[in-house]
Amino acid sequence: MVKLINVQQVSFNNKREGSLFDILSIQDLFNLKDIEHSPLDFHQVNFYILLFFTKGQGIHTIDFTDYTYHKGTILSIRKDQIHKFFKANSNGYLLLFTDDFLVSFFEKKEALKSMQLFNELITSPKIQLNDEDFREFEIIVNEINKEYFVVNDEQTMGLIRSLLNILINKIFRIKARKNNVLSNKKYLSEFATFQQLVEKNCFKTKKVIDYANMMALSTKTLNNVTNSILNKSAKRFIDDILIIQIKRLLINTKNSVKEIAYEVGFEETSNLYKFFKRHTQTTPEKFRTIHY
Amino acid sequence: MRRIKSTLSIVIITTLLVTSCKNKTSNNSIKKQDKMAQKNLKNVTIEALDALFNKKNEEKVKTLFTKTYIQHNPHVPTGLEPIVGFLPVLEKAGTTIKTHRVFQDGDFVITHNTYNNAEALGAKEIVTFDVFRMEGGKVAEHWDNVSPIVKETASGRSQFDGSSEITDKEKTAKNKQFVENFVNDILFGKNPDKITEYISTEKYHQHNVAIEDGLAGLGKAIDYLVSQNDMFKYTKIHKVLGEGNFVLTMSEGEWHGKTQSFYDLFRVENGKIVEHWDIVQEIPTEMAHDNGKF
Repeated sequence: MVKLINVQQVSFNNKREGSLFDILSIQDLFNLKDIEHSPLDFHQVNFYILLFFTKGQGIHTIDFTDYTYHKGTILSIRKDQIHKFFKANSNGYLLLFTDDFLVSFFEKKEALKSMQLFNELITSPKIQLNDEDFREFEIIVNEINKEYFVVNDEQTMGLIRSLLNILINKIFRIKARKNNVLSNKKYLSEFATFQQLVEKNCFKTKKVIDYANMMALSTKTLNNVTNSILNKSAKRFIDDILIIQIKRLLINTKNSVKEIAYEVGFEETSNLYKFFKRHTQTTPEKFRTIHY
Repeated sequence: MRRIKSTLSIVIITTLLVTSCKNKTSNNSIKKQDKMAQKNLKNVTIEALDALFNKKNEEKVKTLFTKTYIQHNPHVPTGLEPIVGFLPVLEKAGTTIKTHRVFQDGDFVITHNTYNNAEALGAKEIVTFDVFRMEGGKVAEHWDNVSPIVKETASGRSQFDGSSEITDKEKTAKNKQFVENFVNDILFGKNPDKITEYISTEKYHQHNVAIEDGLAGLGKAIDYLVSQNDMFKYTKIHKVLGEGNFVLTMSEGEWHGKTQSFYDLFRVENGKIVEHWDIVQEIPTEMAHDNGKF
């Protein structure tokens, strides 16, 4: 398994060095054989995915939620989320790009927009396009596809970045029409930093004061940050993220609850049980069975 | 072409690689062979509806529905043959279906659909709750409530738009019990004063065509019906089906002096009902079969 992956990774680098972007059709994804990890299993990704459905209808699971999709549905999947395809008679595209692609190629303002778009804590990952928007999106995605597979010259990656930028702005506009964006909110950028820090460190520390120190803010300000964006306290925010991470480990691994407790930083397994039960009203075992 | 293929596989492998590396527990990553072999009933249902109403594909219909398909729609005879025989009619009319919500409770799959060019089913544009019982990975039994689509509604919401994300799966049993209690206490009128225990005072998205949003909207509608001496009456709950934050109740009762079938779909959020869709349909005295409406 390791060998196969290494070989493939080398060729990826050779073919598209530094591209940090890829596109493929859903039909091709289903038709691929000899893949180690079926797209029909839960899998965790470390890049961003825009799923754009052009045909058919079905269900797609992201983390612990099922989304119905049709022609014109867009689902955004963030790095670290787990998701699962169900084989269905549908078609569309997956646009994949890495963290670096977002950060290094978009201006800060644009990167913040993308951060919101790919943030299930702030906004629903699902957008439904109307017929007119769908036609526009289809043209742009086809253009990206053509650039990537047919043209592929010096200008290709630059053009794809620009086209993606258009897509992201259009999605933003659609969300704004429905009042689903926070672009003008105070503290958005602090929130982004806080979220990143918590997601990275919550197995090590669950204390608000530690994060406040990392960000050189007072705990009071940090509470204002989470309150203004999500209407919850900083402590609650940290707990919620930790719960999400525990849930992902429960679904995505077969580690025992004891192992998970250790991994996420509980000295006693019983403390994890108490914590999990308090936030979800269920036990880790039950949660695992239900989502399986 | 060769390049395209290799690039695609690279993407996938990279996805997999990422999956593997990302998580130090990758070696423990559960192999879900059994799960994969076992079909996902929600998708089977969507495929079956698609084969029947969009593709009108006889062969597919025959593989996705059981031979002994049991029908509860009052106007359609029971069995597989009648729906196969219906295909040319649907084809001619250009009928199409769109599934807005789908969830599963054990062997039951609950769908919330709209149909276009569906005169054969009651009107050009209709909205339905179609409930299916699955058997051996096939569609084995069907119940529904059907209504023409109403363009102008009191809340401005349609009979089918709104939230469709199925989440909180670990709360299924709790939410089902909660909604059943709501139907008993409020809709049956046993404890009407408890209404604020059930319905969120902050948010109640109403998709009933005649009722405005919010708790106040519901109160106003009930007052009006009572004043007209035309209050609906729930007499029996036949089924309570739910998954996570969605619960459907299928009840029987009376309204406008006639026997009615009430399908009510509720969305529960933080322990309160925050959204409601319904379809009410009169139960005809004569049916095309002996299976009953419920």
